[in-house]
Amino acid sequence: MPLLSVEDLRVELATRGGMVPVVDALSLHVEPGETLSIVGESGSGKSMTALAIMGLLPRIGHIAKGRILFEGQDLTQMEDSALRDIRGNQIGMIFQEPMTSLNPVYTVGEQIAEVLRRHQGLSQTDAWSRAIELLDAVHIPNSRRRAATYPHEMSGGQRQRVMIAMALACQPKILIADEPTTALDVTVQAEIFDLMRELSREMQTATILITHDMGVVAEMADRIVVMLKGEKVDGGRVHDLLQNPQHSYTKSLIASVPHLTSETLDTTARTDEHDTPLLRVRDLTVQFPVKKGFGKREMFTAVNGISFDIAKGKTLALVGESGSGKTTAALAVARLVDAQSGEITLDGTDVLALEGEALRRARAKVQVIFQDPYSSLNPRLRAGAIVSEPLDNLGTYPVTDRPARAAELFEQVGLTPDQMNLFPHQFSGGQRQRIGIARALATNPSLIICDEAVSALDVIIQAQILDLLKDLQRDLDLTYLFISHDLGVVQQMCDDVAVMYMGDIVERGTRNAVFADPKQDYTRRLLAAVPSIERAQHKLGLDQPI
Amino acid sequence: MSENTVIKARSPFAEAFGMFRRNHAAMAGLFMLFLIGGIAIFGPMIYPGNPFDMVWVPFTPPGQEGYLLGTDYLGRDLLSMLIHGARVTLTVGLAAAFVTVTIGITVGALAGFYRGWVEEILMRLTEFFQVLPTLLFSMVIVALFGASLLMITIAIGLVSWPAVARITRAEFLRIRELEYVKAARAGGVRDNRLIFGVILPNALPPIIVQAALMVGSAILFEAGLSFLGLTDPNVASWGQIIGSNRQYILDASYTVTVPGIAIFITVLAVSLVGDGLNDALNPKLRER
Repeated sequence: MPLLSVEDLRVELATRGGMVPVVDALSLHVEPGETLSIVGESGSGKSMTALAIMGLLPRIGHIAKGRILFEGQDLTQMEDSALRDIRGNQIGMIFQEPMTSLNPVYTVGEQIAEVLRRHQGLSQTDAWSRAIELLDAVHIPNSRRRAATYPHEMSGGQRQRVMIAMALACQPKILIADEPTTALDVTVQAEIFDLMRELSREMQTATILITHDMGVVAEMADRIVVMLKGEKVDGGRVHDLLQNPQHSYTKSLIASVPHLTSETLDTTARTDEHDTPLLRVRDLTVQFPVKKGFGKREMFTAVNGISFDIAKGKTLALVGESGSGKTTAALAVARLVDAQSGEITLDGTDVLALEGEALRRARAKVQVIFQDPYSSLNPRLRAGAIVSEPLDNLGTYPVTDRPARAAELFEQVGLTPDQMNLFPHQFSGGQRQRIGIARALATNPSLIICDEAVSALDVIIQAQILDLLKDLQRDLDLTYLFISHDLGVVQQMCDDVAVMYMGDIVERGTRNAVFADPKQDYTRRLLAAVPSIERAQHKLGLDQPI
Repeated sequence: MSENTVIKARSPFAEAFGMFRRNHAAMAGLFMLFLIGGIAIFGPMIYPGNPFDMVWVPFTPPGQEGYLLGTDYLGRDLLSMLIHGARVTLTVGLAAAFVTVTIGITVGALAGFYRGWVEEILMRLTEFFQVLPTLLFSMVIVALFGASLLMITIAIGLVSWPAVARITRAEFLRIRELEYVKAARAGGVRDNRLIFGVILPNALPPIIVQAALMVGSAILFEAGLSFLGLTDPNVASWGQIIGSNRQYILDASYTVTVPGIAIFITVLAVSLVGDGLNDALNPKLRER
């Protein structure tokens, strides 16, 4: 008998337009000790499935049909109080956002001990010492002391470890992990996965891992369920599915994962070293004042004297983890953040010397494509107005030509001009990112900064946007400064790579040099941490590449 | 998924209005406000006569001798005073709220947008006004510059803007870091348009709510000042009716109760509308 089986589940949400099914006709089962992965893009119903199993559906949602059997008991028919005993005790859950899933006013030790007291009836002191053992188990160093710290005193990775400790406190039979590493850096993600693997082996816990990342699935899961628009479209053992995906959606999901290959890629003609670069950055330093107590200020160095060049028509990627200073450096180039010292020369212009009206005019030459397709467009403006905003303000086109130019931009990014009258919220995430790209192209800039431009998109959409960026670069001879934490994406997009760590560029070189033969330890660690289908295939003994 | 799942996208304004319309309390408040506004505008035409005319014996109880609400200590028709007073009271409420919002938005927007020393100075100024005893300070202004309606309005505005300034600044601090504002800067948008054209429209919802509630508290404030005698005796505001009759509160309580009820109903209506706006404009409260 499987540990958990979901039979013909249908979950509906009450919206203004009536009852909307978000999960439909879903069946799956989990055997003791195995890892089942539910894969799908945002809105596919994968998180709703997890919440339905936990009995934690939002108030507007309910289970319309189907059964959820846990060790033979139907969870959908259970009283709330009985369900509470199972939840947290037999089925544990960890969430995506380690910043908000811990209570900020209690120490982490108290929060773990609380779970133990409630579910296992341990005494205060027993619960506390067990909490310390659990912190040890999730490899928090100095656990005795760290138990008495508050969540904000820990890093994101440590907080996620605490969440895992809490979820495993009662040795549940199943652990549900909903995108547990999406908010974390790639090296931290690798550590968390190692930990989850180790613990599930030791405690014989079955895991339901919910993710959008096929690479993660390939490395972690035993079996997969692929969901699309609330329905299961594919499923099976990882081995079979990777080798022989049935559904076309699964195929495109696997195909759109950026591949990290170690072999040397096609060597396009390198720029001559003696060419004057389009963008030349020397010793760029950016500091922020940080308040330290009353009236005291200290400077925090976000970017520490970095130098790089980009040749015209090329792409340089600045890669690094959160806090490495890559975005700050790029925004300093765009003069959206003030630099303390250094030199930035774009097309012969001293960028840092520009002031006032001259600076405003010069903004036409550097444009930015932002990360978040939801906050990067003004919700009060129509799409057409958003794209014409730089045209109107920088006046690079005569007034009479502007509507035609805006329409042309819409077509260039794969939208239609009749969509110009819609508001941003009427577009999908991918379409919104296209609007952002059209806006960046509007003034014919010499340099476009892509600040994590595809990080917030589903993987299939991400592949489409990357293709669009590459097409535009070829057609319009664009130069990109590409900021990303995702090495797979970087390898697809860029000619040169600069790896940033704690405000410094630690390694710089051509794509082939950095990916095939990294010189620095940090770069090697970064590369090793990327989940990859290839490595998983290797592990599974599959010979043919996908 | 089935075909009935198509969710029609509506403009943010239409969505907020739909939300507001489903809120029965808020709609009732809006209805009361329309009624009071109608009385203020058309009342004097339907019930003509100078409210300051001494028409009958003082202290005629309500309903007697054809005077629906009775007469006050000088024998003036209370109903007539109440109808004419509606205009004055509503005008003071709206004008004071306008002054409040104008000062508050300007200070809050500049502080939140420019940060640095501009923010330091403006926020210290805001705190200065916030710690002043409001009633006392407005009494001083009215006492110094004369008890005209204009002065009272300005006085109310001067003591109540800090709340609006703080809300505006908080919204500006949040919105100025959003990517579309950075995008607008990269697109060469000038500072004044960034403040008033890009950030302010997106910061408006909580400010509108505050402004609506401000109308109610301005009406109460005016009534308070009038009760203390700091008002123009030649203008019949509801507060002024209460103020001038307060000596007779024990002998003819209706002279104070009647305008009191009118103030109560108006402020209640404004608050209901303000709460409704808050629910409708605050996306976090949606779909509850």
